Amino acid sequence: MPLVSLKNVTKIYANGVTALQSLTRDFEAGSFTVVIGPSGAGKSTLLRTINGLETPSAGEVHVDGQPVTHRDLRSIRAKIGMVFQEFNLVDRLNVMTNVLAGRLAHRHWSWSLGYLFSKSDYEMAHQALDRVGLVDKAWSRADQLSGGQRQRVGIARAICQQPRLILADEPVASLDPGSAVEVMDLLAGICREDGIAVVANLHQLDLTKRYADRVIALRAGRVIYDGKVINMDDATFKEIYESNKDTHGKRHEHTDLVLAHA
Amino acid sequence: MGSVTNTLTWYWPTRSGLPPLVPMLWLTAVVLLLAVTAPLVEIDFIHVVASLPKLGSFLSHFLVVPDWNYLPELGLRMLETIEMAVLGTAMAIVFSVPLALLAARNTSPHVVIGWLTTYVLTAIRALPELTWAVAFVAAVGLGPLAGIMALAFVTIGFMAKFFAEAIEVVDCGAVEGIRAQGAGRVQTIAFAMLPQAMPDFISALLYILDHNLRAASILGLVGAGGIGYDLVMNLRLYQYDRLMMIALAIYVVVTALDRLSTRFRHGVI
Ligand SMILES: Nc1ncnc2c1ncn2[C@@H]1O[C@H](COP(=O)(O)OP(=O)(O)OP(=O)(O)O)[C@@H](O)[C@H]1O
Ligand SMILES: [Mg+2]
Repeated sequence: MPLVSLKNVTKIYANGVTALQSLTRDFEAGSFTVVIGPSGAGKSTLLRTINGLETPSAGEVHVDGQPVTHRDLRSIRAKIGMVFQEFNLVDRLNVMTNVLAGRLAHRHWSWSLGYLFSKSDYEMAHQALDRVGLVDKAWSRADQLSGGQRQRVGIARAICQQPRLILADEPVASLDPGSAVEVMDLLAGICREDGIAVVANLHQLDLTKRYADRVIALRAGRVIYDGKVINMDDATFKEIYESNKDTHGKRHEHTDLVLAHA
Repeated sequence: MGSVTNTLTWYWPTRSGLPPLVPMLWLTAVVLLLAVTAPLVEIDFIHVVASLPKLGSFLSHFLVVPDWNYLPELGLRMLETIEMAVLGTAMAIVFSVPLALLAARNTSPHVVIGWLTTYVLTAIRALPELTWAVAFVAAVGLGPLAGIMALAFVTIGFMAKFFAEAIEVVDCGAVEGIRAQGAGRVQTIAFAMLPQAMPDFISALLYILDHNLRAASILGLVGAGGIGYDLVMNLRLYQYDRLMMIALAIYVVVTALDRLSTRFRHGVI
């Protein structure tokens, strides 16, 4: 049984934009998938539909055999960590508390009101911080860290959750190349060593080639390529973006960068 | 057509270069309204100017030697006033946080509950502290307790409104970051919304405390405790040697609080 399965998922936003068009796709446990595609292709929407941040207009999403419905959001999200382009940490809380937030899905709200966590929660948070190399920053406020460090806190928060899947929406788009590789190495390591599946949106061809087991290319809400990254040559990659230029008449800022690589 | 004339010609930053029409109309309307309605409340500018000498002679009464024997009692009364302000504000916090969560659009359990809460808060704010103090004096008797309750009550009306506004402008990113990890409603509020709203909470709190200190110093007027009672009595008895000390004491305390809160704000935010 696949870890995530989307069946005929269509997403039409309130403003009438169709972001996903009858998309059917499975994601296996423990796999590293990179989603590429021009701006507005529906990459973020795809990720956000998997953990219920967006509700599909039609179709079904299953995670670990369980349908993603409004009622079960908490238990579904408990299995899914999410890493964001802008980190989405709580800036005014310290790093430890941000990482502990990954345990919230497993804790009753009455304890959370008093900001109480169990010893095992602290151990998990400590291990997660150790993994991303930020134990010494545990008691600093999140907004005092650099971008790269903040994203590593974001990853620690996701690890702390002990999820089956991590969704990463452009996790390196706000980072310098050095931090970007660090973050991608972490995600790849988690995937390989802990068997946690990763689905990441990326705009960089070099990173995609280096880390992805599988690449899914989206354009205008449809899958236009799905396969091993090895089978993908530069021409294919170019086509994914070029065809968009023809239909939409505009290019994403990253697209030029990607094409320059290609 | 020379550049000299160009630099001497002034324009407003609008398409036509003329002053923006709508704000100008409003401004004119307000000025006209004020000019027309001033006589209704007997604001007569000639009268105002003519009274200036009288005001001067009133102020000259304050040029007396202070009544130092009054100092210990003044100290006690001021302490009572400060306590009233602090207790009233503290009691209001307990009620304002939950009410703010009910009123704020992004945390309210239901739109209707949000509206209802907002209406109740507006109703509380509609009457000033002094009016509520009269009511509470009737209910619990003379003394600071009535004052504290009146202060707390009106403060809830303001504080919950300010807190709700602070919650509404909280950055969505942090909230989504917590929610995506599987946090429930209450957890999202505790871990994303309240911490992010904290600086605004503290700003509002300090402003309200400042306001309540001044409000507390007048509640004695209706027998609800604090320095206000002495203020009225001494004014009636023309005891300017004490009045001047009271005025000075209020000034010192309000200024001190202002300094303290500035420091505190810098420390926390
Ligand atoms: N909340 C929303 N309301 C309305 N339309 C939206 C919303 N979010 C996304 N869209 C639209 O849906 C389409 C897909 O957006 P999405 O964010 O999934 O694209 P993306 O592939 O992630 O793009 P990018 O690379 O720029 O992040 C776009 O046309 C976008 O304008
Ligand atoms: Mg996106």
